[in-house]
Amino acid sequence: MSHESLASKQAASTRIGSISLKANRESFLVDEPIKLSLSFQVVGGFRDNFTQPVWEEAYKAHDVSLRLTCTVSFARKVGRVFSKKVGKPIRLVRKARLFWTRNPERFNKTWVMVIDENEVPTLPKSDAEAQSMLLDFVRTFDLLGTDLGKGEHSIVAKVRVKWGQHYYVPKGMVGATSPPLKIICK
Amino acid sequence: MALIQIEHKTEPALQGRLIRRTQSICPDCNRILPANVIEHDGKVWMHKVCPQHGEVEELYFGSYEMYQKFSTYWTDGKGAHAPNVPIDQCACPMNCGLCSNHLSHTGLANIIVTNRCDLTCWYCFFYVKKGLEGAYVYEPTQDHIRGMVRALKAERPVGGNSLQITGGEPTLRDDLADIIRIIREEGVDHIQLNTNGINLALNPDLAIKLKEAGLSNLYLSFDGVSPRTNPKNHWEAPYTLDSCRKAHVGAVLVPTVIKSVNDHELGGILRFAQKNIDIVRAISYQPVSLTGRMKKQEREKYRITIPDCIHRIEEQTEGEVTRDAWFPVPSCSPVTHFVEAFARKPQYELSIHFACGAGTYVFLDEESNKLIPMTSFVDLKGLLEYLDEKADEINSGGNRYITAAKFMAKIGSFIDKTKQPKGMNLGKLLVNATLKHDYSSVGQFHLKSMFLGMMHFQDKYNQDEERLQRCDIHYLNPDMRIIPFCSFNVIPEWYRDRIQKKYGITVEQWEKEHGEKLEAKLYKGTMRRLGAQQHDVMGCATSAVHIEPITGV
Ligand code: SF4
Ligand SMILES: [Zn+2]
Repeated sequence: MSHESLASKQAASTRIGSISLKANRESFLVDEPIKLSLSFQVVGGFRDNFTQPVWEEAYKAHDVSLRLTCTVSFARKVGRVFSKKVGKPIRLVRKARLFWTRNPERFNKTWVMVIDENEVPTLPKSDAEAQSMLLDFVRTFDLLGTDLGKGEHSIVAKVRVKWGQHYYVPKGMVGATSPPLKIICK
Repeated sequence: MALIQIEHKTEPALQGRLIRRTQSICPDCNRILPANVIEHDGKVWMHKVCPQHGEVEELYFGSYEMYQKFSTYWTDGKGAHAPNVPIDQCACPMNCGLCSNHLSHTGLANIIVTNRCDLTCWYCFFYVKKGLEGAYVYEPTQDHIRGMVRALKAERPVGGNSLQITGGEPTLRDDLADIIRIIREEGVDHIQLNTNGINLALNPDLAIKLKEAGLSNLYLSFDGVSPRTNPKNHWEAPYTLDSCRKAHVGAVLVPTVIKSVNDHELGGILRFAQKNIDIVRAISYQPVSLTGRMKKQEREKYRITIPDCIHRIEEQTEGEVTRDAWFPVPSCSPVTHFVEAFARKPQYELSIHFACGAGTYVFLDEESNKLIPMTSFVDLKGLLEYLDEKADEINSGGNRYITAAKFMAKIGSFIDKTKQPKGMNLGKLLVNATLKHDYSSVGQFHLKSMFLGMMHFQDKYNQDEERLQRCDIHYLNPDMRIIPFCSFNVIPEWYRDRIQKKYGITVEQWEKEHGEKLEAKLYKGTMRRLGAQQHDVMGCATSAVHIEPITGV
């Protein structure tokens, strides 16, 4: 199979997995901040292909810089659908930079630096760690009770992750919605 | 067959947090060693062990916080695709020429036109010292120079276009104007002259002659604002600048910064430049590289790194030029990538390692007479992010004209027009330069502004092969090799000395051929002596000839 068709097959299999939304408790006062914890992973072809041997090939093609943009928004159920937006969407940007390392343990190889959404650069110790740093998201968000109003609510997190054209994955976007979370505002 | 000797000896337990592993050399025997870049006490250090000569720990970068910030701009470049030394395995610093593994094309090429000098500075290792065994006068012929420039222009994917004539003291060559003309003829647009400025101070017509031949600017040694810190040209520099004015040649001041020697005058140098902003285009601070054998204690006394200089400039300008104003050199990459994506052809790029250099622009506010860093009216970080995103968009199949239109519509939002220096339209200037390749309005940028740069050349104590492999300041040589600065000068026994011996002649032979003694051209300190007698006309005195005195704030 050619590199292109392999890459598009892998892109097609890329998806969001293990998405979960939790709150630190079930009920809040309306003027209290609500701490939500969201976690998910980008899994499938993109992840599986993001490995050192493929970085090597990408580097040869001078494909050295990746931007991953993740947008997270929250919505509350109105009637039968989650249509009412809660708070403002949050945009997180992660980057990966492939570089020629002089680390004697990985002599003459391409390695990766991952820069997270807080602009902290890290050199992972393994391919699996690189995949996790780039493609696993665990974040806490603060909503305001006033964003929801008094009463019992069902909310979801909607996530969308997109990236550009690369040697190891064609341009693409994946999205998912978390299972609903019950929140009571008093 | 393994090309590289790597020592796998068990290393002592690390003191501090490991940031990354790299390779370096032993300062005693040049053996390639594994090295750790570590953090402790808020600073970054290099640690390595030679099985024969023991352990070396050296300050690598004076602020871990700044190291982290700078490292987020790390982007490897396109490289130099026309190698003179084709090899499979990378073996820095052994195969420079450039070899197939080098990661930056030439950003600035150096040609040594002579290693004779009219000064004999104690710390300088560039000039021929008479009486030393193996001292050679090296002066490539004009034909050699033409060949070297052709090698530069033949680089791919981007031919070199910026060249520095260096020495010794290049103005000692009588045919300097002809050399400049040759370099121009070969198609190099930017030619700068690395000089101590003395001959130009003594002879203003020389500056005019060199300008007419095609010189772009001077790269003028300038180590401080007092005779003690700048014995080299304290008395002469104001006259050199005056010669530049007459010839309309801009000047870049180049201080070599040595801790405990002149690091207290970095702000003073900036003020001196500010007073001469009509002709001084930039300052290039160069933290010293420590050559020869030095004890740890001695190294600690003199060692200074980029963040240390940036902090001192902030202190010594009372916060006018803050540490946040500085960005590492590779932070320009998003601009290059955007232009590349738009123009669909490889562009000149500055892809050196993030720890090698930094820079910022400052503008003079004429009302308050204060310097305003560009970052106080431009959201530079935001702009670079935006360009990075847009380059990605075009490279991923987006319509480049629509993306360019978006860029034009958006650019204003990164600029605070209320704080922008009067008469400047930075948004228009950036659009013209990036999308239309029209640099005509860049002149307005220069007249009221200065570029402040910082370039830390390596030495045997802190040498990092990861940095070296990305070096873009290269030497052109008569054997057609193009050698990175930090190989050429850090291991002169492999590069500089061998080349100069091969293509040079002995001092005795030179004296015989030229009918003069090498020392005949030594500068006798005329201006200094005259200045000491006539404070009202010379150098650092209150000037009667409209030459700004050299003073600090
Ligand atoms: S520094 Fe550059 S040219 Fe020299 S050996 Fe290393 S990669 Fe090759
Ligand atoms: Zn050794």
